[in-house]
Amino acid sequence: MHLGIEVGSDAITMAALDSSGSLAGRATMTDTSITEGLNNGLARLTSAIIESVSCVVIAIHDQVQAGQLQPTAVLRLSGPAHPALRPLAAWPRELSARIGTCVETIRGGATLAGTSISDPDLRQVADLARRATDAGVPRIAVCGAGSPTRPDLEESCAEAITSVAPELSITLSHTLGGSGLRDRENAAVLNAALRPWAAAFSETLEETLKSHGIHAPVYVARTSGGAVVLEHFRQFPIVCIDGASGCLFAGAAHLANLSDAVVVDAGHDGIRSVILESGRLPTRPESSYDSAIRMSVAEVAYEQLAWKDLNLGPFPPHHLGPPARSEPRNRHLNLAAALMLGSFNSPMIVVGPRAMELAPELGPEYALFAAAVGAARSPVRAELERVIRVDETRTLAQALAQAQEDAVNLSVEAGADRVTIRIERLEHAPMSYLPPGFHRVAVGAAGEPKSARSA
Amino acid sequence: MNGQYIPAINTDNLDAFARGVRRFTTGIDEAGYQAALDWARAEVTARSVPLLRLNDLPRGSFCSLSIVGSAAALSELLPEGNEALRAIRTLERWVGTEFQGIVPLNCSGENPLISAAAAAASGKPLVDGDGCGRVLPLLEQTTFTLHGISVGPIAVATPMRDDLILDAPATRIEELIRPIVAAAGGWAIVACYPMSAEQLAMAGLPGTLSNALRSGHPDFGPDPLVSRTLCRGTISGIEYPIQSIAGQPRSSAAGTLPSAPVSILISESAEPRSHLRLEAHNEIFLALADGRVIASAPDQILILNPRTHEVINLENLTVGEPVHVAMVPAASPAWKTKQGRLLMQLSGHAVEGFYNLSEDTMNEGAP
Repeated sequence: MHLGIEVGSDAITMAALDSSGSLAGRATMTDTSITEGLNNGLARLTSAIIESVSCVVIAIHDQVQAGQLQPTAVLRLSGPAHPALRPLAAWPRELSARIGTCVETIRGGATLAGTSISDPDLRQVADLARRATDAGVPRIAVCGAGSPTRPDLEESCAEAITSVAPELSITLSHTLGGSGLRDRENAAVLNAALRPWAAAFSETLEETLKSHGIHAPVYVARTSGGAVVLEHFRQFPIVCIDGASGCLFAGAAHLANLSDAVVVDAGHDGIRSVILESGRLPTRPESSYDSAIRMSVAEVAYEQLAWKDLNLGPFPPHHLGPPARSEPRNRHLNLAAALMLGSFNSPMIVVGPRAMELAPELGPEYALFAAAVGAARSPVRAELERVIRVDETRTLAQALAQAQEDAVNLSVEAGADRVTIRIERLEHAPMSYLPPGFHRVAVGAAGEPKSARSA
Repeated sequence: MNGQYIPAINTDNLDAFARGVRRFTTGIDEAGYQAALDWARAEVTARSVPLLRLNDLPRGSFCSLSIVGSAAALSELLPEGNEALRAIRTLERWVGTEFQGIVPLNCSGENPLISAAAAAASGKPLVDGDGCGRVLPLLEQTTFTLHGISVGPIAVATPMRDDLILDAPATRIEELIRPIVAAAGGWAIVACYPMSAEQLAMAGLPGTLSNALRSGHPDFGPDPLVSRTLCRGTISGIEYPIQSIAGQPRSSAAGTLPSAPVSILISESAEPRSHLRLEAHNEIFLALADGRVIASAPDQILILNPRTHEVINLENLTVGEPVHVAMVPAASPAWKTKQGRLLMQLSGHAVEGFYNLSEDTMNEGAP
């Protein structure tokens, strides 16, 4: 039995799926605290379900508020940048203030082709680590220019930091991946700053689940789909801050037994929609934190629109008239209108709190439990992105094979059962304007979660 | 504000301008574009940028400005912010005159944003025009060249703080500059095409920056960008030539082109369910549907995200991805002249035969 739990700001929902994927039990609570909600929800599931839980997957949304960001030291390894492009320069003042002032750029890093900008002065790196410790900041984010090609430069900084401040929690940007120094740096800083929240959240989860006799491995859904084991989440919380969205869309497809569909999430404030093709959710390589900070963390590529901007008339949808003519560039309205009119060839599934108003025939599980169902069905997933160089010493086939092997190992670290892991995605393209042989490579690997039995 | 004269790029219209110029791209690196936009925002906030109309230029000399290399490299090796100014100053010193304004080499993506940042930082006005009407991969592929204006001498400023002058025949410039860009981390800023106001007025494509602004927001006038959908479908294959997969040097036929050729296969999702084949080398230069030519350069062929209608970068395509393929007519009749097509061939050597076959349809009139 896989137990999926959606943890939202105002409700906790649970769905237990048996080995055939059927909904065996469900609960929804609107308690004020996570602990209370979990306790009361778990108490509503039958003891038979509780006893047979082999895997728990948590899907989070609306949990990571600005107040959860903790002070973090920031080390950028690069050449000098325009003031508007320096670390945290594009952050809203109230968020950068939370990170603090232990922020420094040290000359170093590399170009995308791997050429060193200059050898970093590791004494300066160590000095920053000491200053962070002295200031009571126990964590640091390190982001080096060119780290998709030269991760070793960040690793040498980590060694220098650990040598003088072994207690510092370190996030290296290349471990999160992504192109673009600033987006990767933002992801690394946010990741480091959220680790205390992730640790506290994980502890609450584990204690509560254990108190109900659930000792199965616990996973947390990723924002881009799939899940990672709780220990991995503690290290990389930034990749899980909105796992519920992907779970919602995937859960809807599972409930409807469809792999090609338009899925519409009818929320309180507006709609979100996505087109599911061959069971695959579209993703985009970057997202934003608090709608303000761009970061190289992939997310499910849904479209959204506020109800007030829809102008489509009253419910239910078969009473809708034609939508107001819109400017062609208003993609949201066009998409929403097309969705509402059912003009896509694919069938439409409506989920979310207002699903019953739009499509009552689908049933309440679509309205309330789709995200929990999607969580329970989540595979364990790992993504790898890097820049590789092909030359006389290494063919492209060899480099891609290495990348796939590394992605499989990342999946195992993320909690996948090794024998079930498959490569879902392998993309590569020669890079323009760099010397011949440089390729951008992205690999996605997924496997089944280790169950209590296999763990 | 329908189609009226736009006197300046400032904080009120920069976002619309930025939205507009990204619609003229053939692909965008999001991180690089955002870096250019934040750079421009900081500079334009400090000082707005007057826009000069091509038919109303002050006497004196002007130069064109462009980023060469990749925006992905720029997003990794961030600009210090003085590169454009250094390039302009270096060229001014070399030619012995102070430029009265800057004209962007093209009006697409990062380039006009960086030009706006440079104009604001230097206190020089920006010319409401460019030399492409869109974007083309090589420095000499401009209407300036079509009018006999030399691309050189060129001043190059790199993010590694190198400043160089390339005073060489136009045919040598690309070959010389690409290794410099690679050695500098993948991008640099160039100031080029030093020219008189009269030359610029004759050779520049007028109003392309204000058109971009209108394309970015309806408040500034009707959208000038029209497109025709060629296909809605799913990418079924992406093919690279063996030498780019093996990491071998690009063939001599490819000259100094900065990217590898690629063929993109698309299965149309509705009737007549054609199989499209797009041939690209820096840009998509040919579209075939079941073997029949349906579009070609100099018209612009774009692969769009069907959800967002944003252009998808050719390096980010994936098999199985749903896409729209659209065609935007060439930005200027100049590109459909014999000379224009010959200049386009520099970046589309593989389509040379097609151009020749189509020669009877060409407009023979010189610009």
